[in-house]
Formats: sequence, C-alpha cells, structure tokens
Amino acid sequence: MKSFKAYFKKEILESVRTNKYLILFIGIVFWALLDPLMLKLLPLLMKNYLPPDIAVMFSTFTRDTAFQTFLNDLFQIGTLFIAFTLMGLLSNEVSLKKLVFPYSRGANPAGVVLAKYIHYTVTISLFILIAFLTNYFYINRLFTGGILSIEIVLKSSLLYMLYYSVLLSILLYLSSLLKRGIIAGITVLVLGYTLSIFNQFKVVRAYLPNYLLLKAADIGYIFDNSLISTVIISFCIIILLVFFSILRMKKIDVA
Amino acid sequence: MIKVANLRKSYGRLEALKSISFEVEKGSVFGFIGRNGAGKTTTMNILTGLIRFNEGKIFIKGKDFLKNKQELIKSIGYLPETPTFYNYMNAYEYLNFVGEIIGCDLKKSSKSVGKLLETVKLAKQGKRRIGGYSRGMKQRLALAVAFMNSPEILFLDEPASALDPEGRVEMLELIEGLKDDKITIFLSTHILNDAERVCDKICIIDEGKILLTKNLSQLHETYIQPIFDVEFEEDPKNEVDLLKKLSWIESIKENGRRISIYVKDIDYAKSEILKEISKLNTNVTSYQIRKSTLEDIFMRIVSKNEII
Amino acid sequence: MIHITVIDINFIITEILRLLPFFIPIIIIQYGLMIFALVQLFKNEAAYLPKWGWALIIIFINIIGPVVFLIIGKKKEIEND
Repeated sequence: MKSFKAYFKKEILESVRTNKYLILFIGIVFWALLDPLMLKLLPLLMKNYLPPDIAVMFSTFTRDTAFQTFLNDLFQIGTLFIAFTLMGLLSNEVSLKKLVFPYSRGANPAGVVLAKYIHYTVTISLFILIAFLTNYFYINRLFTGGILSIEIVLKSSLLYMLYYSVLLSILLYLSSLLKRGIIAGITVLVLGYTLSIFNQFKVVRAYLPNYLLLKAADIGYIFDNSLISTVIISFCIIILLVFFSILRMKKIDVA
Repeated sequence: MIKVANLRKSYGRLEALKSISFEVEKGSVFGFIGRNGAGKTTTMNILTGLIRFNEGKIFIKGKDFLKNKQELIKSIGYLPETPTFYNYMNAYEYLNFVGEIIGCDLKKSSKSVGKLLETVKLAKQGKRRIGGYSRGMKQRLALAVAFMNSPEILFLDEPASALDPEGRVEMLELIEGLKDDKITIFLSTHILNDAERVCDKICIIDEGKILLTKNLSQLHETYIQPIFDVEFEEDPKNEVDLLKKLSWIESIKENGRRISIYVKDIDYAKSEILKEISKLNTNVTSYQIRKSTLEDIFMRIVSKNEII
Repeated sequence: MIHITVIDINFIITEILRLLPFFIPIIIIQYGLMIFALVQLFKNEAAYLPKWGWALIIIFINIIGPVVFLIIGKKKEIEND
C-alpha cells in the first residue's frame, strides 16, 4: 500500500512533467473534434470533383455513421498514441535502473505495478469519456438523422474503456518482459490491429477483446448477450496479465 | 552482521562470482577491493536484494536474507556507483517519494528531508530538477537516500569516484564519522588509499574470486617486504661491497647516497642489519624497513592470481 | 451547368461560415500544442535531431510533429547523466 501510494503520486507527477497527460489527451480527444468536422467539410469541398454517386454517399452521413467513423478513427489513432506514450511503462524503469533506489529501500513490486496500471487505466478512461461526450456534442450540431443518444454514447464509451484496459494490461506485461519498450509498443499495435480481422468470423469474435469495438459501434444493440463472454474474457486477461507483471517484477533483476 | 557463504552468480556462461565467502562484523568498515569487473558491484547488488544469485547462503543480522528480505532490507542503505533518479523530480520530491516507500512518518520525514539535504549540502539546489544535477550532486543526493531511515548497514559502491578531491575527503571523513556511530559499512572501491584510510578489514576480489580477507593491521604485518632503505651522509661507494658479502643479504640496489637492501630473512635481518651498518666507515642519516602500501599488496596478490 | 456551380459555391461558403466556430477549439489545440512544443524545444536539449530540425517538424507536421517531439525529442528525460 505504501509503495502503491508513492508510485501513484509519482505517476501523476511524471505524467504532468513529461507531458504524458497532454499527449494522451490530444491522442484521444482531438479526433473527437476533428473527425465530425472533416466528415462535414470534405464532401462540401470535393463536391465538384467527385462522381455523383460517391457524392451522394458522402452527403448521406447521419449522426450514427458520423459516430461510427469517430470510433474507427479513435481505435486506429488513439491506439497508436497510447502504445507509443506508455510503451516504457515498466521496461524503462528496469533498463534505466530507476528501480535501484526504490527496490533497495523496500518497494513492493505489486504496489508499483498496480499503481501504474490503475493510474493509466483511470486516465485513459477519463479521456475516453471526455472524447465521447465532445464527439456527441459536435455530431449533434453538425449532423441530423440516426438514433444516437447520450445513453448509446455512454454505453459505447464503456466498451472502449474496457478495450483499452485490456490493451494496457497487455502493454504492461510486455513492457515488464522486454528490455526495450518500443518492441512492446509495436507488438501491442500489431496485436490490436490484427485482432480486428477476427471480427469477420462470427464463431471466434466474441472470445476476443476486439469484439468490444465491434459492439461499441453497433448502435442500438450495444449491450446484448453476445458480449457476456467477451467481457468475462477481457477481465480475465486483465487480471492474469497484471498478476504476471507483478510476478515478473518480483523476480526481475533491477540492477 | 553479514555472513556470506559460497555465493555464486553467473550471467549466462560468464561466472561473475565463483563461490565467495566472507563475514562482516558489526560496526566495522569492510573494504571490498578489486579492479573494475572483478565482481564488487555484483556482490553488492545481491546483498541489497536487487539481483538474484545462483547458489550460496546469505545471513544478515543472523537471519536468512532470502527468507526475510523485506524485513532485512529496511535496515540497509545502498549507495550505487551510478545512482539514477526520476530526473523530472527535484531533490525534495525524490526524498519524499523514497520516504513514502519506506513508510517514514511523513511529517517527520519532510522535516528530516530538509535536514538530510543540508547534511549532503544540497539544501540550496533542493528545488531544482535532478535532471540538471552534476554527477557529484547526484552522488550526494544518493547518499541522502541511503541515509534515510537511519540504516544499520550501509553499502557504498565507489562512493568517492564521482566526487572532486574536496568532496572525496569529505566523504572519507563522513565514513569515519559513521564508524563511530556503530554503523556497519560495506565499502567497495578501487582507490586503495581511501580503503587504507577508513577500512578495518580488507577483502580483495579478482575475477569473481576472493583472494584474501584480512584485518588491515594483519595485512601490513603479513605483507611486510624484506627491504631496508638506508641513506648515508656521503656516497658509500665500495663500503657497500662489504655488505654484499653477507650471506643473509640477497642483493643491494645502489642509488647514490641511498641503498636498498633486500634480505632473505626479515626477522634475522632486523636484529643484524644495524650492527653491520655501524661497522661501516660512514654516517647513516636514515634507516627504515620499507612499508608495503595496500597498493603494493594488491598488485602482488592480483598479479599472482593472474599467473595461476 | 455554370449556373448550378455558382449556387453551389454560395452554398459552400455559407456552410463553411456556419462551421467556423467549430474550428476554434481545434485551432486552439493545434497552435497551443505547437507553441508549447516550441517552448519545450527552446528550453531543453534536443535528442536525435538538431533543434532547427525539430522546429521544422513541430511547425509543419500538424499535431503529430509536436507529439513526436514531446515523446522522443527531449534529451533530459531519456538519458541518465
């Protein structure tokens, strides 16, 4: 508990001083503003250059499709930002020998790992909530049609939060395993993107975390029974990987 | 206080420590001497619980270190050779951070944080980011971290290496002061003069093996060299030839008014040499048995190790 | 045909004027981030690239440029001594 508190405070200080909050905020929230505007603007500017059938397709964007476009972009760009900002979560601590003093003064690895995981999960979840609400606000001003409601947006944001919690636990574990953070970051990216391919296969998709993203965009049917297994599996992955990270940090040579 | 038995550590194929054993008494300064890469830092990292080891037993304060690590580590302070901090913090923040990990009373600790920074002469720079500190400043901050929660055992890895001459003298004085406070100190260094000045016991390690562990006074006695340096008022010239004829004298090196007499049996020579010199037809201005410095001893022991 | 295009342009201009307020936060974030990164670049040592190189990246690559600089471009945070 002592180590947890000390490291939680340390992560806050670190995120402020090394601009991690700023980078994560921009990586997640900025697209919520930019996306709907671009979607609105692009067809206007391109109108005279596009063949009529595609122009029609552009002009039929509703609030629902605009929201779905944002979800997709957030996944693609947000994941990139998160992976590269947090790839050194544990590997930097070990390889730069930052843990020599804390460990030599009796820091508890479980406290260190939990503080880091919980701090960034909360931070990212908060930014996701802000992003979803801003996006909803913008979409309502710019588009019409569709059944999008605040309830749907909140439900969808919950699934995104859970998804990024899973991704973060993978990043955490890889970062404890590998000496170089960049490899952990790239692995998480590749994993995140390729797992989305499985969303094409009805048999397996409900057992993979990327199904959360599919359901988050399934406006009107976000929460249904097919999610139960996905949510359970997601929590299992989180608990297991955080636990393995703690074990790893207990055994690792920090000097 | 610390007892190490048959400690082995290897990094892959490389054997860093080849079964070392030694004991450190309470309140003493234990000098761990060796060249770079001899295994000093590895040993210290193991004894402070930062890295694992392959075989052997470690007892600290009579307790098995592996089984009571979390408890024992509280009474240990470590000053690593190149200390690393969170560079975006300032000294106050870092010491408070460590204080929180140790679990010191925070009110008490914030008071003593200021005091600690004063002792290591960083009070003025305490609010500056550590990232901008010089190596010497980092070293002193590291010392403050090692001192937190008044440890019973201090591990100091090359404490003076990053310091300027003035800082080095201060560090040595500080270690001497700690000795009076009955703190057990495990000091690794390759600066032999420093070790000679503060250590009670010397342990020489080379290529992962302990070559010798002895009290400093014993060491000087054992490694006394069978050499007598004699200085005459005038160039002795052929007077020396008389000495050369004596059977217990091995050889004589002449250097103007000064000669060095190498003898076969130092105890016999001690009783005879003055008699013989007095027989010579010249005046002696100085006479002494050459003392081995730790440096001589170290070089002799280590070079012997290389031949084997 | 030409007639229609004129109407279209009018329509486009009024639409863009209507959207303008929505751009304000985006512009603030973009330029705020750019200025923040430039200040950081000015105050810190730069890693991997000379300072002017980073300055070009920060100014000409929107959002991503400043972010990349903030993640990897500052020397003090990545090195020990």
